[in-house]
Amino acid sequence: MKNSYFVKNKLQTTTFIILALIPVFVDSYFVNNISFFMIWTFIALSLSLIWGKGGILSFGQAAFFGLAGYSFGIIGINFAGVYGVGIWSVIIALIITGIFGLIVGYFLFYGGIYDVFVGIVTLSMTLVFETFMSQTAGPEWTVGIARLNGFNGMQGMPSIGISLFGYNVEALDNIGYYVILILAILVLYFLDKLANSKFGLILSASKEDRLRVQSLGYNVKRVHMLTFAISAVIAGMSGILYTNWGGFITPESMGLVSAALPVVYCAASGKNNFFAVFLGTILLGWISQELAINGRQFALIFMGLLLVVATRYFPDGMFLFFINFIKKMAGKIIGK
Amino acid sequence: MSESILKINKIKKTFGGFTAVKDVDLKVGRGEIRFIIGPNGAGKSTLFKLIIGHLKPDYGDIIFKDEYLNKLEIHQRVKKGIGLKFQAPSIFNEMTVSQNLEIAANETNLEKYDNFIKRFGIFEEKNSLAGDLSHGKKQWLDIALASISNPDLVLLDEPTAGLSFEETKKTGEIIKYLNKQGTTFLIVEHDMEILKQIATAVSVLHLGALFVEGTPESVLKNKDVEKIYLGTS
Amino acid sequence: MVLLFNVIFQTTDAISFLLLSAIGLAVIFGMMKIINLAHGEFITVGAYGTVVTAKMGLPLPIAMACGVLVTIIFGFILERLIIRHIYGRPLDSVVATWGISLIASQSFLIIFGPSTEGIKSPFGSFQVGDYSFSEYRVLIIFISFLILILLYFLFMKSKFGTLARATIEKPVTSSALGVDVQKVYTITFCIGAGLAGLTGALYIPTMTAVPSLGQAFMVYSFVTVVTAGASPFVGLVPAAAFLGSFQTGITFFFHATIGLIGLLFAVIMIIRFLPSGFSGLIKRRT
Repeated sequence: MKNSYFVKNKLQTTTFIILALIPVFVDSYFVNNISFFMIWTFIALSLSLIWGKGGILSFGQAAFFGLAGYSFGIIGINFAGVYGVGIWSVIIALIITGIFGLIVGYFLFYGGIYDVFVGIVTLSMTLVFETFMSQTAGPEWTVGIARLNGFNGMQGMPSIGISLFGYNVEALDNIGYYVILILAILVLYFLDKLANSKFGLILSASKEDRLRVQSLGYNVKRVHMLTFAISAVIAGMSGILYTNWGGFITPESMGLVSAALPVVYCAASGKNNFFAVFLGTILLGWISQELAINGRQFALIFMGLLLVVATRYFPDGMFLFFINFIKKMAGKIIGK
Repeated sequence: MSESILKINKIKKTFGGFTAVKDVDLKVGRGEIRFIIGPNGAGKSTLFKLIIGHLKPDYGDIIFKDEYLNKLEIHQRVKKGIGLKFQAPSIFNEMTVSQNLEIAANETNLEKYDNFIKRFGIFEEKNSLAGDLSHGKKQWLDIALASISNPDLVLLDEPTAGLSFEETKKTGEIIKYLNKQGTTFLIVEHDMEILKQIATAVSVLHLGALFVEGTPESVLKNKDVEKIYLGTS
Repeated sequence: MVLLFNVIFQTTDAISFLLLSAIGLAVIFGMMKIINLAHGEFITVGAYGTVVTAKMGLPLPIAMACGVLVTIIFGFILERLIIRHIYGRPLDSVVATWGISLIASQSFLIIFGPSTEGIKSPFGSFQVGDYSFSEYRVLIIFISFLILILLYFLFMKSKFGTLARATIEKPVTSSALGVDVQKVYTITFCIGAGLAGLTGALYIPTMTAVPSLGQAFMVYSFVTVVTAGASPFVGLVPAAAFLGSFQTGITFFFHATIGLIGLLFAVIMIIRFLPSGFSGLIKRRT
């Protein structure tokens, strides 16, 4: 089974191999950068699932990003030193995020909220989180011994990792790079399997005609709620990895710009294609980092331009256009 | 177990100040091919939507195989053994014919449905995109989606809309064949040719109420029915 | 007695603020079903247009007219280049207008810098008991209701209004009857932009000129439009009245941040429990 995904998708497999070999050839600065860009692929993929496959535009991914990041931090700080906390704080944080995703999904879809209103409600939810967390600066705002610390954000959580045979294995630097890469490959594999499953078929059909799918006996609300919860967990992975990478999490991660980022990544890359979104996010991350050196405004203007151009001219995504072009060229070369 | 597979008791639906359906009683027996006809604005579409669960009635009961459907949602009613097809062809245009049928049949292996699919004249197009089919074949695919899971009752809203004379006849043949296998049909229609071809019972709606019921022959001969269509009543 | 006057003033002030925040967005959403996330930027353009021309020496009302004019031109350009290509794609309109908002807001930051010297509000203030109130804000209250009445006549009673409403409801039919559908859309969009520009122009004498000033209105615009529901002319006034009273109440008893969270929460609850907004509620009763 596992073979067929990697055999069928040669471009993907080639990319994974290249990415795996990179640390051998380049220095740690470059490796850390790619780690950072890869961290954002999860939240972008989560939106690609709910929007690209599901047809539902959600601005709530940033909320799940923050929720998972803060949960990971709170648990880590409170249980620092307990064996394996670097692993099970991740798992519990993801479970919390998933449950919250189920609840929000239930509220939305079983409440009959669809189309643009999902966007408005999820954006409001994300901003409520940000506004609330921003005013938790006082010392009274703690969970256990973890201070939420308001606008400046929470820090001091233990890294992802575990003590094996007396050694501390932490997901930082090169080890962190491979942890993130393997997680990305697993998520892409999972999403591919999901899309090609019966669940995926129902999801795609619901995107086209919700009423018809219901009239064929399927509980579409449940399908959407479950998809929403899955996408929440995947978005949460970005939040946890980000918190781990920098050692802190701030309310800004749930602000307007953060809520817009996954939308930019998906719209520009090609929201319907998971691999395009994966590569596109890495590329866009690198480009905006270059631009931000000249001033944050330019990076944001670039983001805005991408959104406008992509929506206006490339509704299927610019990066996907590019990938298909490469495939055609590669096909021609190999054909020769 | 009663003879009627579907019973509608005193069903009423108003929109604002307008009463679309008033106190309609309907009994559909097993094995019937029941047609619901009536001039425009008679309430046929509203009645259809009430039966399938797309609209909630102000009061009244919908009973299917001796079970009350009132509190059930569309997908729950379908699971009880009802197949349905809306007025406009609502197939999944972006998917292949096979994928459409897989969804409806809830199975990935369609081999045992080959004969069934052939009857609908869409076997050759199994791997084509549903959106590329001709209008007639789209309607047949839509009917196939409604009936592939072998429901007890199939509800069709204007299945011959936009079809040619030949296509309409073929549609009638398909419905007759399925009926012989045991499927009851409730069909909202305008086309009198297909009614003459296959109907076993006819209910006429007028201004939201049940006007007259009977065999196709008696209804077609009824002068009052003629009058309501001509608008002289 | 004085306290009562204060409460009434605050509430009416809040209501007219919500009305003006929402009206541009409401026209575009109500008529064209486009969620314009660049609405805040239209407000900013109107505000900055007013400030710049006022600084050049033009009298305030003329400067405001210029602000509105600049916003209309801005809206027109956007409609031609981008908006008209995404009609009928509501999710995409959210994405595209967000992109426009990002480009515009950051461009304003680059062009005008983080803050610009503003303009003073005209007229003075009057006293009631221990409280003093701005005469200008009283004027704004009157203007907001005047605009509403004018718009009502424009869209409900005039020939253009009837044409516009017919086109929005049945574009193909209207086209078949000889209506230049694209022109109607463009004019309607420009009206929405102009109204947003007017909001910015009217309020800028009471605010500092920062590039993000328009975005400060956005939450209020959205809450009001969503509460109003699908028919802005039916639902806007009740929505603004309800929310204005609600907000004044909250501000009197709680912190301002709670006010914002309260509003966001209100949006979520209204979409969930009153999806067709106030206009739906009103229509059902009549």
